[in-house]
Amino acid sequence: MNADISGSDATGLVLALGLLLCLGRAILALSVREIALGRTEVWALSFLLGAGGISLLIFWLSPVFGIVPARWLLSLITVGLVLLASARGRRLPPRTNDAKLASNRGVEPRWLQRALSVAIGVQCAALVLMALQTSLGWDGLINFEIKARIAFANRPSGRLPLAYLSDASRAWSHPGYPLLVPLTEFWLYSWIGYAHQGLVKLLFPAFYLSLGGLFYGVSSRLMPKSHALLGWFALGLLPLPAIGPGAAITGYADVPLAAAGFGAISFTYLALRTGIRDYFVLAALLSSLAVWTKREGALLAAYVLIAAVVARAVQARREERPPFATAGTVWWLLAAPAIVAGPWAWLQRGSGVPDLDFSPVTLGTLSANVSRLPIVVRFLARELVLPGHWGLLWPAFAMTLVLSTRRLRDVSERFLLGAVLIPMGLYTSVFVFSAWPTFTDHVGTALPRLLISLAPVALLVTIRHLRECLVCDRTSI
Amino acid sequence: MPATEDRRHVRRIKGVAAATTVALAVGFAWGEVTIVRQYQRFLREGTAGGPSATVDWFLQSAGMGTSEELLNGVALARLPADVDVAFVAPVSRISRQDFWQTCYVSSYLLYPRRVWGVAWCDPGAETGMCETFPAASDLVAAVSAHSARYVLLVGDVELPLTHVRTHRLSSSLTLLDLQ
Repeated sequence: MNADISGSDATGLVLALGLLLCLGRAILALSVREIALGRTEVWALSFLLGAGGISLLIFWLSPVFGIVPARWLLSLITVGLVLLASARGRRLPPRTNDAKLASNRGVEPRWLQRALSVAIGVQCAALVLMALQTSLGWDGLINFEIKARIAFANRPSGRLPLAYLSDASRAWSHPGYPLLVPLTEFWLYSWIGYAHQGLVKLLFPAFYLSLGGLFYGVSSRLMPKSHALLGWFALGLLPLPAIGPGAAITGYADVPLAAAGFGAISFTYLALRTGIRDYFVLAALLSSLAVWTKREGALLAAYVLIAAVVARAVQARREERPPFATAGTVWWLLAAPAIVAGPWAWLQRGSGVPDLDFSPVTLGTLSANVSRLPIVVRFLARELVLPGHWGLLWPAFAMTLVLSTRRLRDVSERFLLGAVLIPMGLYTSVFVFSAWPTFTDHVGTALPRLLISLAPVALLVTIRHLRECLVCDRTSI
Repeated sequence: MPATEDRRHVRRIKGVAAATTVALAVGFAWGEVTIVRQYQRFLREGTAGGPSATVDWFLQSAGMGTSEELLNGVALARLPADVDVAFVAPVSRISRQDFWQTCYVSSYLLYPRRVWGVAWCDPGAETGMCETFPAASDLVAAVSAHSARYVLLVGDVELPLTHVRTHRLSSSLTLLDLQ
């Protein structure tokens, strides 16, 4: 390995990650009351919520870092939340069968589960090795790590200087991008003691592991565990999220967004199927993390909110209840992202740095550039069938939709399907407003990475529907 | 639907699902081969994992030395922290990608100084090269537009700029003091 790590570096890294996980665990314990979470899900959610919690606390509390240094203040808060969660007796309930979904499970041989677990372990170990073997990608350096370094070098440390937000000479570093990745990187630097571009790479396989853990956790509620493990293994066989631009080892925000987005979408789906409040809460927390990770996360969060409201209204009508009788559970999906996005949006209002990537969204720009749409759609169509990027995931996804049209009568299934198709349509349309001199260059570099956040949901839908078609009979189709 | 039609329909669905599953598996196998080949390339070409591994990789890939050389040179030259620096390169001596890549990395390293990329349309530039950067013909005006008191010059060229001092930062980079 080439990580060039000293003993004190390793100690700092362990402390930073340990505190991050503790914070996430405490947030999880305080948020979830009813549902049972498996061990893998707990680790995955602890890491994601910890990264989100740490980065948000750094952002919100930065005005007081001149009085109390960032890492000590956040460590105290973490310890406090852990004690609070313990005092309230919020142990996570043991995993039990979720009655409404349990009929999809089956008996399977344990040797298969063990073999797949070993295969997944090998995949993850290879990912960590490759992360230490490679440098940050271009965007990983100049869009995200640069902000971590600036925050680290600033006095007091941890506070992103307001002057940076309005620094026209660094507009290319996208100062308006959300801060989950940079501030989590800063958290590592604050404990290691200096900026280390080698060690910070270890964060990104951890985000990928969280994505895999969530995928397994959600899938195992819907199918036998061996099939859920197979799905997790299959996720690691998609080239673009593993090795391409935006991959799990490059330091980009696409895999963290995929983890948060998949969690938000899948927990909302489970909430729609079961009506359990905790799923809405988890969906809201992860939706707000998506907003805090990348600007595209706001599109995902908006879809989750609007589609969930519509779906609940449809369910209420079918059950002959008032249409907004269940609004109380859905409002989390609005409140949480708004609490996260609001202060950041307010801070940027006065920055004055123009967005280099997109022109203002006006009817004039739309009418002038609408001819770009067929070109972008053709590019998307080519991208979706590239086996060197996606295997044959997207053609298989399309085929399962054709096979499963009857199942799509259920509003929760339509929500899940829409979570892939509607953002895909929005991502395609947005290039109409691209401000790049050659907009096709923009499409080429950005569109494939945008699909990373949709691929896990597409894979879940594909595996589930294929499995159900393979075992179907006359009564089920 | 009559029972026989139902059974045929079920068989069709199962057949298509089975074929799709096989195709999906083939696609995953293709993906795994792609991943393994790329991993092999990473192992052959692996970078050092030090604190500045990434910036050094980008600088060295453009032939610009290391971050340590740049930062040591800037410290020896006593470059103030609150100044504007013009990053200048003649377009005949550098590719567009290398120019902007090195400019942004220099800006990253020289923070909090403000670094402005000024590509110079020098007399040796071929037709059409200047437009692709884009590059300025009037270098004095372009540097003045950013109120730059210093120039970070790529390459060994004579600039049409009056400068007081030069500091050699590396074999490829020179800092010019315009005061």
